[in-house]
Amino acid sequence: MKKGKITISIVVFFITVMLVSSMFIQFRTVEKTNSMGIDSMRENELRQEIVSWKNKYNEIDEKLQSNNQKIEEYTNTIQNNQQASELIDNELKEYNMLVGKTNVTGDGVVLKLIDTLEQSFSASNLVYLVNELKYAGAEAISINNQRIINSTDIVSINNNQYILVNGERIVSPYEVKAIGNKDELDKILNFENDGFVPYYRSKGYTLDINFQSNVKIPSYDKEIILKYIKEEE
Amino acid sequence: MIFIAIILGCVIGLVLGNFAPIISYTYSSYLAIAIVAALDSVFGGVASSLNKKFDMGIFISGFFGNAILAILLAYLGQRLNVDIYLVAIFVFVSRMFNNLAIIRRYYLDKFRKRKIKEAEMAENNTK
Repeated sequence: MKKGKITISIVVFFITVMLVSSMFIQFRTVEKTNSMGIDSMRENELRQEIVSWKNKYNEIDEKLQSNNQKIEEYTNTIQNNQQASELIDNELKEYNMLVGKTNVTGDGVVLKLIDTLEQSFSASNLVYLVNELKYAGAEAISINNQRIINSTDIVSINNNQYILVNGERIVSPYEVKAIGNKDELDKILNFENDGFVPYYRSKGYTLDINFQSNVKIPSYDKEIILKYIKEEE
Repeated sequence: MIFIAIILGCVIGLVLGNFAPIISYTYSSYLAIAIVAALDSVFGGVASSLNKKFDMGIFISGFFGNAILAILLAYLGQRLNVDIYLVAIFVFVSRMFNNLAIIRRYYLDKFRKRKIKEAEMAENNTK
């Protein structure tokens, strides 16, 4: 009887241990996974979740597409603007070249006017030469690297002692450079008897004329300020 | 003796259960059904011991057999896409209620018999 009771007690002990421990494992499992994690979701919940995510995805996809469209529009406008600004840039470059704000190079002529004891060049001679060159279609002219622009002055001061170009004093030898059609320049400058070169040579002036294919003329290095003129509206 | 075993078992089981690793959620439903089956066996054992019909072999085989069978049925139910585990829980819980009713009646009877005896004793004393 006593032996039977002991075995019963042992069996009951083991069974209780197993039951209680498994119950507590289960408690803890349920507690841990009670929070909304994907691992702990049932199939229906998962399905609902997928549906809601799909909806969200579609919404966001639509937004993305509209945003992409906007971006495309913006890039188009930017491109247009870029084209416009390129156009303006090119125009600006052209105008700068026209005004004389850029270093330029091209075919042309280089004249060297040298003062001698017998004859020296005056400012009016230079003005005449510049005028001749312009007549011959010169697109850019410089005297001793002073660029001749719209507002350039060529004046003599103190009874022809100094010559000022662009307000800077220049001295002999005067190097006059011009870019333009070589044939045209040649024709005008070397015009028989009346052209600049033969005329002044006949009068005893010393001057060289030299046609070059790569004449370099520097830019006008001062600011061009317009104070009084205004555009008429 | 048996009570000491039960209390000791509860304490050790509690400690073991608190330190054992938790199982994954997928299998926790199987463990739950095994626990319900085991509880059913325990209550059945208590009820039968009260009726002096307790059999160790039946108790142990019922304890493990029911638990394993419940797990297998639940697994089968999942494979068949039928919620068999619900039926198993229903059966086990209803049996648990039956056994609890037997236990309750036993102690209620005992209590009433004692009251009647006490009343008779009192009557005898007054006579």
